[in-house]
Amino acid sequence: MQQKKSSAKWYPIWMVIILAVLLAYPGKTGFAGWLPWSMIITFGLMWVIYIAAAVFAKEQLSEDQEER
Amino acid sequence: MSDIIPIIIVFAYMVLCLALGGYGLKDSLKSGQADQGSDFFLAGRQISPFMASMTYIATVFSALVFLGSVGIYYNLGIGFNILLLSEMAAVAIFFPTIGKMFWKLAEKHDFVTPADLVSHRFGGSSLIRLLVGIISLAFIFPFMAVQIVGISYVMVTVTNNWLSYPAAVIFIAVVLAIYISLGGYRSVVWTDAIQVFMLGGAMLLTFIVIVTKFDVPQIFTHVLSVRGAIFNTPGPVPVYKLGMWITQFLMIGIGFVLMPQLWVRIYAVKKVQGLRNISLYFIGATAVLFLFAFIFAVVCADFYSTKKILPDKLILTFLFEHSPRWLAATLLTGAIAASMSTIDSLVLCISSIVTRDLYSKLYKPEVPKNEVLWGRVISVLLLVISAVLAFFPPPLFFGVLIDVMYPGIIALAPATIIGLLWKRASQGGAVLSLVVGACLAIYLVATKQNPMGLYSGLWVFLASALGLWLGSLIMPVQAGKEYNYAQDIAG
Repeated sequence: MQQKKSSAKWYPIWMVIILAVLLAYPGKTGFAGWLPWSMIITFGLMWVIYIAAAVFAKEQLSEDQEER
Repeated sequence: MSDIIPIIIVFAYMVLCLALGGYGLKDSLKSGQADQGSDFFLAGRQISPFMASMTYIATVFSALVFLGSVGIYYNLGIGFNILLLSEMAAVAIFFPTIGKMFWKLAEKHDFVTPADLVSHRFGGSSLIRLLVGIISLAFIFPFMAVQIVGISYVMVTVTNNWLSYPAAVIFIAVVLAIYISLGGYRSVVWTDAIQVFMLGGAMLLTFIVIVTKFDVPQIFTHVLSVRGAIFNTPGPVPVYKLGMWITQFLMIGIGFVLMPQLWVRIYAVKKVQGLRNISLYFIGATAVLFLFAFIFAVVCADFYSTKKILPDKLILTFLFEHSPRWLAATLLTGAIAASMSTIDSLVLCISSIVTRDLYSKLYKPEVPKNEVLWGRVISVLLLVISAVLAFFPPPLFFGVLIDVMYPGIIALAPATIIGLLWKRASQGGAVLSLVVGACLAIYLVATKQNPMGLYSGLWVFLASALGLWLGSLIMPVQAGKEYNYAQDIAG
């Protein structure tokens, strides 16, 4: 039961990431510097996923301490 | 002289791979389980979390990263990032949840292939084993053949045509055949770990060469004006329209995590915590390596936007034109390493599918001792077939992955993932799901269609899920015989 609860609280986070992916779509070239918006948004999003994954995985897998 | 150094570098690397093959064999003999299928195909499930991550990354990143991704960013623009975002999000969600279920089941029931798991879920059905085996085989085979094309391109360039394309294909196939058949998964894990560092180092060095030699901000500003579509969706070749963008995000990750050669890597991990390492190392490495690849593509766009060069060969051409030959050769040995690490995993995985799912479990269930011998013979045979297919290279490496492989593998998703979560999914439903999904995938791949502008994989998934649902309604599970995961791993 506790496992279910801890998973459920993660749903909004994944929803936000999915929405962010949609927002990244138009990928406007934006300001004229050498780092266009599209690049900052999509590569930045990868790091957001990385951090979310780190915390999520730790929480989901830390309950299992068994070894082979 | 400058032509000999690249040849020496490449050959030294090949000798290293062979030596690691020998080491794998020694290690396997020492374990006392050298005649066991799970030892040859999965190194006895004793892969440490770190090595598991390295072999996972090495398997994912092939010539596609160094050559293919530069080509595809150049051709299709930054919209290609949706493939990466989808794979990363899928890995992040899948590994700690469904991946954990896979691992526990594999540990409990000694699974070696994807079909072992799916067939077990549906009461040990031989028909389901056969279907999963055939689908896995049919859709990952072209991907394996493409890898040899990538390496051979590089070999020819690195040795300045000293090795012809056919000679390069044969040479690579022989080296792979020797080290894979010697130590199986144990050899593959070691070569994979080295190959990850070679690829990462090569991309980092290439990046350093570029930033020290050129004014990168100036190049970016210039490319914004001459090929600005690279930075935008739908891209220079307008593929990434909104519908395609969303549906690829939803589907590609599912195909990715279920790719048989990656799926079985979950089984081989020693501890469940290793899954966390795999997902984090993979996501981090993707974010770094593809940022490099994108920068390379922009730089190549600045130099070659008016010239006719095969997109997959852009970075090759660039390195040899703008850095010393010996340096270019060293860097490109990283690309060779990357592809070899992917092929070896694919060969071993396909070999296990053929040996176990299509032969030993179906026809000769009583002779598991032959499994390793068969595994070796089939590995060699697969490399021979791939080498022959490598004489017909495709126009774009990533095209094979996105348009051929993922749609097919997605057909496995409903029976596997929904099957584990939905207790009343029946054997009949799984068969219908696999057949309908695979037939639609074959049709869409053959006709190169993305109906209504939505990714073909989405239609395959929907048809396959509908098949599971309808089949389970028409041929329901007997009362009291519903599948229960918790009981399965406990009992």
